[in-house]
Amino acid sequence: MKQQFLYENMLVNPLRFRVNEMMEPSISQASAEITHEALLGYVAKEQDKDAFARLFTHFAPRIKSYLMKGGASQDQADELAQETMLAVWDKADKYNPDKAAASTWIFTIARNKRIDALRRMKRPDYEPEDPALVADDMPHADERIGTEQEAGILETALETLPKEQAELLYKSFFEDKTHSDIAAETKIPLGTVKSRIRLALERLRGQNAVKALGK
Amino acid sequence: MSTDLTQHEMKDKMQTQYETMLMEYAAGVLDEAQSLVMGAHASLSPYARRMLKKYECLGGAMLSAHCEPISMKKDALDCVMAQLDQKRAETKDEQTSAQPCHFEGVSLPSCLKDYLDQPSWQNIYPGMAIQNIETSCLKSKARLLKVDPGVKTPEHSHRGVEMTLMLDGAFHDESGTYSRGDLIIVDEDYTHQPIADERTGCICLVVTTAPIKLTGWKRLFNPFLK
Repeated sequence: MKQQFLYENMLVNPLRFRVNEMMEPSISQASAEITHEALLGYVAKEQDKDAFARLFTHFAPRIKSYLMKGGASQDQADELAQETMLAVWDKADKYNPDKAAASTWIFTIARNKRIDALRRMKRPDYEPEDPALVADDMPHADERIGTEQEAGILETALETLPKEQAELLYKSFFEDKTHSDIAAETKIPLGTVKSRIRLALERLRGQNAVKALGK
Repeated sequence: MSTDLTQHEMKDKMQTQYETMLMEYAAGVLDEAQSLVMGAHASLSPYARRMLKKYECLGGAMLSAHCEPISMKKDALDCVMAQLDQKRAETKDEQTSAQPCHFEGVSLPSCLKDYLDQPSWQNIYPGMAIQNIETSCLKSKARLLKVDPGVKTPEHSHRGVEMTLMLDGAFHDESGTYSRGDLIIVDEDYTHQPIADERTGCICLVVTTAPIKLTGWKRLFNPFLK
């Protein structure tokens, strides 16, 4: 989690890092751990292929794994992971680090790719430019939700979950299973599945609240 | 059965059901009909969008830090790098913006646009009409439901889950008043008889996962079964 704390300036304005780099060569010489958010920023603003390759190196094998857990064969998953990263490249200019962590944004692209290819359906979703969309009523509340900071806290907090809770989250997010599916598969009563997941989420949120207070 | 639970317990149950389905929608595990309701609901509810964002953030955290990587094929990166320039060139002109969806004078969430053509209401009960919505689902059924002002839904219960998204007007039942954007999710424990607003009536999007059955003497007449 080093990368979250070093170079925090970068995620506000990735370009600023470049300017600093030129003015203070010692920074560029240091082994920089650049955040995924910053890398996406370079891809978006400068079509930076090196930045993209670094994102690929981290995310593609994980997307492949995610797709296989969701039912894809190894070959299929490899191909779909490549397509997902191509979509990341393609849509990078729509990415806004103030609105979402890189992993959040990339997850949604991978998820939609999985639904499209494995469930053979187009996911009905809200569209930001829809004239019928009811606009956000609490713009300040949105600022922290789903951003890099929250993602970082969650990554750490997930490690502290009891195995029986973590397992259920993995089945929900990775194995394409509803709570009912999970109950049927594990023979755990549906009520227990729901309450364990609820406990897991509360625990994760609790960590959020503690960190927020500490700030 | 609904009398076994107090009002408070009922609301709590509905809230849990609601949060469960938000999470399932964020995880991408709902079927097409249920996803349609959630997507339309999210268009009308900033709260739902915030919740979805939280769940997607969780999904991203799991993907990035808790999903053991499986090596890509040796030439995968090269293969993708080779396509980057072409990709940019291809999609430069593909700027599509959301198409507004108008139906019967009501502005609807754009995700419904592909599912609704011309109005073609079928009367199923005095003061109530439905318009079927085609999806690829085998277990879930989606329909628009239009209820005339002041009309009370016949007493009915349902196996499985019933999702009702208010699109226009309002209705009220024992648990409160609901209007545009509100999503009510009930399961088989809940017997309800919503009454459409006396002035405006209502239009809603309803998805059920099992045939609704009527309770009480109106059981002989079961218009929801199709």
